[in-house]
Amino acid sequence: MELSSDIEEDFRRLNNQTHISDKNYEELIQKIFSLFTSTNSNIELSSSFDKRLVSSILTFIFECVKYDFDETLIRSKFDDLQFTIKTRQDRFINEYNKNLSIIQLYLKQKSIEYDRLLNINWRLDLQLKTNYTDKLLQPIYILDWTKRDKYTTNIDHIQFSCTQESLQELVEKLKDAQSVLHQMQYQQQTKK
Amino acid sequence: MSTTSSLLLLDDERKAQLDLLNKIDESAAVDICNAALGYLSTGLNTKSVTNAANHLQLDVEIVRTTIDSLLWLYTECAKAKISSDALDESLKLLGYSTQLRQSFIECYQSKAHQLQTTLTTDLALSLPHYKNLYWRFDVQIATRSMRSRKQFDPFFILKLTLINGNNDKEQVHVFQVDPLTLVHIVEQLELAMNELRNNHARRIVHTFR
Repeated sequence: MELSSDIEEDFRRLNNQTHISDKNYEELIQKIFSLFTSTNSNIELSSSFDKRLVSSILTFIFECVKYDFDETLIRSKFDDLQFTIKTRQDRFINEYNKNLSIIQLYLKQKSIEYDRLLNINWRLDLQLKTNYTDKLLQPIYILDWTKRDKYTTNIDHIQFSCTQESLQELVEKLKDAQSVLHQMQYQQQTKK
Repeated sequence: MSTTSSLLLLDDERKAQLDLLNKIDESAAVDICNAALGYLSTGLNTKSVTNAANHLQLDVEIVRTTIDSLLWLYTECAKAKISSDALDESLKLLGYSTQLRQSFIECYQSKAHQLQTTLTTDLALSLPHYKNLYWRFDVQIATRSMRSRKQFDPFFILKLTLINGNNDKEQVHVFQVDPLTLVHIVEQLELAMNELRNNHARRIVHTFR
């Protein structure tokens, strides 16, 4: 993990009890970690911490998760950064461990995305007549696929029709895909 | 026109236009029926219509309207999916001779399937429809933002190709689907397939047949 000199300096500031009181440190840690569990993305702090300090701590957290740092590695990194107050280290590590899985999830999502298929809906119609055909009697499926557009929260729909034969083909293909899951499950079990 | 008792009932104007075939030589009438059938796929050829009119010593416009009516008649037969017997009876109402009726029916039957397909698929109102689906199974194991060894996220990528109803253009959609969603989708589509085999659907199909 490589950190900029600004971040290194900020961690030295965290170690300075006259600059940042225990009470302020507690609030800072609590508010920063709460970012991952609340929907509110704004931090409002009672004291006048500068934004740089907040961003430095966040960067440090993300780097630790990114490189899969455990407690020992984090402590040794803190020591390198001359952030040595034991109680403050403990407080940080406690919150870090508590929120680790959610931060991992958050970082995983910050990746390259495709549109995501969320659900499907279907309808079965019987086509009887058109302006060019008097006797049709053909079943037709209307499918509606719900997707979330990549990098957004927009929900979109794709509608299309399928004859009975093409729906059969579509289902067979999806079942083929699904069978991969069973194969994987089986392989896992036999390896155990 | 109506299809009562499966017969084609023509209005007087159509009958008058098609009556020309009763007035000319039988073999010439058969030729016109054949030529009209050809025009269904190629479009009307003004030059050969003029030649035929000159040959029969008839007014070009009269031959042309007769051919138009024959084209209309072929199309109506396909639209109603008429049976040979019903067609024969309908042609009797036009006063056509046995040989002419037989020739017309043979002509129609040689193209009936193609005509019906054109009417049901090419010309009819059509929504975007399914063409193809490709799938791929991947596992995400590392990303720029997380290089930890704990990543193992299986997912499917589906590439769905649709065809637009009216201009035949392809639409391609690529999705990521997680395994549980895929299982759910397969379940739902199987339910949809089964719906067509149940008594309710069968009863309704039977009612309209």
